[in-house]
Amino acid sequence: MGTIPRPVPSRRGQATVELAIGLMLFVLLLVGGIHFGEMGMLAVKATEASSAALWDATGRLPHAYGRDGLAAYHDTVASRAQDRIGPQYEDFDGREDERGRSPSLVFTRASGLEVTCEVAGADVFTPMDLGTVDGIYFSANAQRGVRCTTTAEASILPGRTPQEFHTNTGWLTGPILKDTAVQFCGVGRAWGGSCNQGTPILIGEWALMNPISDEAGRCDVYDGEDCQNPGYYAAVKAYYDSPAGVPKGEDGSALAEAVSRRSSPSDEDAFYMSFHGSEDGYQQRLDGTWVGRRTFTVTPGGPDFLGMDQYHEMANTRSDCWLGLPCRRP
Amino acid sequence: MRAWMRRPQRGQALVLMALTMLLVTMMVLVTLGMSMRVKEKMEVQQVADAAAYSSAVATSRVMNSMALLNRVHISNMVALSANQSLISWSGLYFGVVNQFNDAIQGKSCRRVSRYCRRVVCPQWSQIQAASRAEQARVAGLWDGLDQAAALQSNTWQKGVMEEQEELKNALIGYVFGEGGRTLTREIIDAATEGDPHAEWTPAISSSVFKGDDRGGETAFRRTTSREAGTEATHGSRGDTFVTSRADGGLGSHIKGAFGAATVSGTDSVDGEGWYGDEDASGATGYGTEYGFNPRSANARDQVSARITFMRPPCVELNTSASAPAWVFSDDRTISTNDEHQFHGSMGADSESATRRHTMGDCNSCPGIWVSFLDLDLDKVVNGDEHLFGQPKAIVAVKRDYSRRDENGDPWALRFTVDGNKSFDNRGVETTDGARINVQLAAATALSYYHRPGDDGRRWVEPPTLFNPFWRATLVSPAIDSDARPNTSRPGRLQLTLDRLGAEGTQGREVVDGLLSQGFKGWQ
Repeated sequence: MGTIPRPVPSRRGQATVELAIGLMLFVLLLVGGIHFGEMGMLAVKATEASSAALWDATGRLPHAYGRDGLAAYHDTVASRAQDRIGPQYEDFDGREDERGRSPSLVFTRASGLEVTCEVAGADVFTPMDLGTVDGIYFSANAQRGVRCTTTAEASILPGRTPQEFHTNTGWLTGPILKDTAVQFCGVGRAWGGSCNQGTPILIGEWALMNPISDEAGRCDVYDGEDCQNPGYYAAVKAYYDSPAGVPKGEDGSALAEAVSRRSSPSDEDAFYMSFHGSEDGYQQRLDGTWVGRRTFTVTPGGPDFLGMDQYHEMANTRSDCWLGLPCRRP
Repeated sequence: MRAWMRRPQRGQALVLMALTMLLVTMMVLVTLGMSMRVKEKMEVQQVADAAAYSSAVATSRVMNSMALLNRVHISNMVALSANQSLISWSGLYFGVVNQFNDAIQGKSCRRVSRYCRRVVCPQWSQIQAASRAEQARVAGLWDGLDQAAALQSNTWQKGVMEEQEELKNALIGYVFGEGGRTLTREIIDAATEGDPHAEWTPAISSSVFKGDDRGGETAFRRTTSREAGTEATHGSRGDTFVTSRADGGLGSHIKGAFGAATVSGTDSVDGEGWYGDEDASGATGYGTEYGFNPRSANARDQVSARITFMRPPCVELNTSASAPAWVFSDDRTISTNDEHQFHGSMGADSESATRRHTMGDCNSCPGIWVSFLDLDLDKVVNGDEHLFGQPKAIVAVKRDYSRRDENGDPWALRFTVDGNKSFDNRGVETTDGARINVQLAAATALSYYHRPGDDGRRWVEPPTLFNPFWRATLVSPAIDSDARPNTSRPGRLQLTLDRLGAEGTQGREVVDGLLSQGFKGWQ
């Protein structure tokens, strides 16, 4: 009697199953790879945006020399840097002419990138103790800086996280992933769920710097505080009137008045200053002098500044190009 | 058919598939790790740039403050000259009173006639009494007021050097100091707040400091105003306020003080009060160039006064007071005298300090001029070498990931096969053991001088500590000769990197290698 042959298990469909499983893994990795690559590109843009905001802040007018002290504009600088760079990078594209929506890439969708700039005060920058002149003309506010950061979020699926995607019914219950949104920061990561306040930078050199204001002007001795650069005059006078300028007094006048029983012939501790630049040969021209000569160098660079004649040599050798270095011509 | 060919081949594809998946997984993770490293490198560079720029800003703030103080110094010298001229002017009056009084008291009225006895001699007695009274009045108030005025001169001459030194030390301590709460550390701490992964280490150097380190002198030079101060001081008020002033009532008062005596010639009280009208040989005159010998300063007043009371044969007084009065201060190479001269008095060093009229100690010998800080002028001429004395600040930052060796990121896959083949995506070290857990970044910033206006063409104006036009900018480290091939000494960039330990030295070797190949693409 013959045996009945056992049926041979069919292998049909095995490859299909293997392919399905393999493809699932492969596609998962492929999607993940693309997603992570896209995330890396977006993260870099977040850092780039925070740098752009910082450098935009350094290019703005941080202060102005006034008659009553240096007016510091750190708040304005911070808000304007934010207002310019924020919209510029909102779409993760730093080109100023290119404005668009937040990017939706192949497997990554990002929220709008937000740039935040704020004043960095004494909690960030310990004010430098400038000794005797500390606080004279330059207030503590003038020692501040600005800090900028960026925040953005990106997730793997356009607009919907997986827990929203599934129906939470049947065997598939509970969230697949709690949250796929990843937060980007200008510097560092969102430790504890939030970005830090960004990299700070000192703003404001306390220089006369506004080319379209009287900060560029000269200060003729005869014009006094009404000179073309009243801020400069006020700053020097503030120092002059402070202990840094050594205490003033009228002891010479007191002697003269007591002796002569008349008023003093000169205001002994009156403040005088003169500033002239290259347009005047660095010299103050006096209406009349006892010694005969009428012009005197009041700023290094002019003639007869004996003992400092290197300045005169410099003035003759520097170019009118950047830093006074030789102009590079094509 | 060979035996091995008859073995079942089931599972072969699974192994291949698993290996492929592992490879793809590793590629994904490496992609993620690389992305993070690129971002982190950008962060290190951002922090280094911010720190370098901020250091230049702080340097500029200090230099602008120093500049204001130098202008104050000039204004102080103007006030000082006014003070000295008033002392001289008062001494002139005292001298005239002394001379006239000496002459008046030396004459007696001869009672040779009735007219003399009844008219002239009583008049003469009144004149003598008035003269004595005036001399006594002035002498009585003189010492106290003269000493006070002299002390004021002394105080004013102290100048601004101490304040400038304070500024310099503040800059050194806060910006360029090692350790502690420095500016760079504050920036790093703020930028990395809450970051548990990395250890940040900064190093900073600056051409504010001479030589290659901060141990030496700074690029600020202690100098004296001397000729420069003479020029600037003169130009900041002129000289007419001491040389052509109205007599302020001095002449008329002299006339009134001597009653019926006729005093003439006092309408013109000439002052010569200015700095230095005696040259080293002591000859009077406006010597070397415009008469300013910066080694001395004086205020000199002179009057050609004559007092007459001609009543012959009773009294015949006709004498002049012509000796000038002056306050003369010089450097001690010329004379150790502290001269405050007028007829009847001559101050000298033997007198107490409060009576001295020398304007302070000789703190900037030779010369009466006070010291102040200026750029090191030995540096300013060669612009290429030292950028006209404009200081650079170089910051190097090291970000060390050693802290996350054991607790790396989730994608920092690490495993070992057969005990010796390993894959490590943590970015800590390479397979041959080289440490790669450190990122370095360096940035250079410059404090530069630029007066605004004139469409930016004022670059010709030389950098100086006399005006607050100091700004800050980032520059290439090769802006001067520091980062150019130089076999004689390493540049500041390399020296700064060296301060970051072994990894910094590796970075320095990269810089040296690039320089040796003529690399010019520094940013």
